[in-house]
Amino acid sequence: MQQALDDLKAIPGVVGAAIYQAQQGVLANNLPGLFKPEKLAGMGKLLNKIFSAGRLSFNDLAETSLCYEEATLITREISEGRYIMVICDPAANMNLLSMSLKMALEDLRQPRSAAPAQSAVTPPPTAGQVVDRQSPEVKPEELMAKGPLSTPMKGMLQQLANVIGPMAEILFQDALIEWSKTFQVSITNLPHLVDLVCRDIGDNQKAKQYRDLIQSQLKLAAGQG
Amino acid sequence: MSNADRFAQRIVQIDGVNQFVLCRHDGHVITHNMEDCDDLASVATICGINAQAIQKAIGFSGFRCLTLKRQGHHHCHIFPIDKYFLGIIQNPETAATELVEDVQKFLQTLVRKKPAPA
Repeated sequence: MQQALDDLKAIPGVVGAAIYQAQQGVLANNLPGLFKPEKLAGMGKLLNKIFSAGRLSFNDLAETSLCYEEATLITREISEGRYIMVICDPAANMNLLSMSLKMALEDLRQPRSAAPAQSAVTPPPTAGQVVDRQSPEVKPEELMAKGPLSTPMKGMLQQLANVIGPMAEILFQDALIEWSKTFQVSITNLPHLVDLVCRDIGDNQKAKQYRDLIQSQLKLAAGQG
Repeated sequence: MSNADRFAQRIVQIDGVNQFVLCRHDGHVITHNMEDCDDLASVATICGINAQAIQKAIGFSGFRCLTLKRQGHHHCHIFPIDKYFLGIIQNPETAATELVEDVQKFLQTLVRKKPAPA
């Protein structure tokens, strides 16, 4: 996610970009510090209103471009209620930006449907490991708060925060939800959770760093389980 | 001929303007050239107000234009003019950037002609 935003920021004239989700607020951004989190959240909320109003009248709405004297704000929908917002100089090359934005969107949409990138490291789940789709949904907060998985998961989250910073909690929760829906919630399946987290980190170097940091913790957890 | 009629006569002369509606900030329609202008008037008002709210929240200056880009290229452009919003649906064959520039030039002539306060 962060990599996609950084790629956009590399385009001349682009100030930075952010990903906004209607329910969760700003998920990631690489805008300068003067765009404070509460301001960004407010902006995302207003852009969401603009997009929703536009969609009501034009169901083929693809993008909004908001021009001010000193900046242009471009918004595209990644999936329902989730947007990517790019702030750039009005003189920026809009064709280049538009093409890069399309590529970024493809990247951002892909991870949700693609197979885990690290599947070669961990074998695919066997029939016994995969959870029945009808089974009750596991809440990430409950898994983190109590039970045998609580300690190793807290450790995993802590190490993730050391590697990627404040986005760790959101990324970990998303991966945890996906993991609990795909695999049986157990210590033996924790390596699959690590794979999902590494896939979502989206940076091979950081993913490797995380994998190295987490290794000893997983061995310890497996010994206890 | 009223000012609104004069405005309508001029705005449709701009190359690429297919449909338009001029409405107040409260959504009240002043003039238009559409069979049913309610949808465009609502979009122009809601989007225009939110674009101005972003301007205030972030501290940007001079809201110039909001473009709602559509896959069918019938893009919708919303311009602020004093206490009004102008909503335009463009012809798909027209270049959006040129249309926006032409409309802005026209709107600037209106602002310049406004008499100075006494």
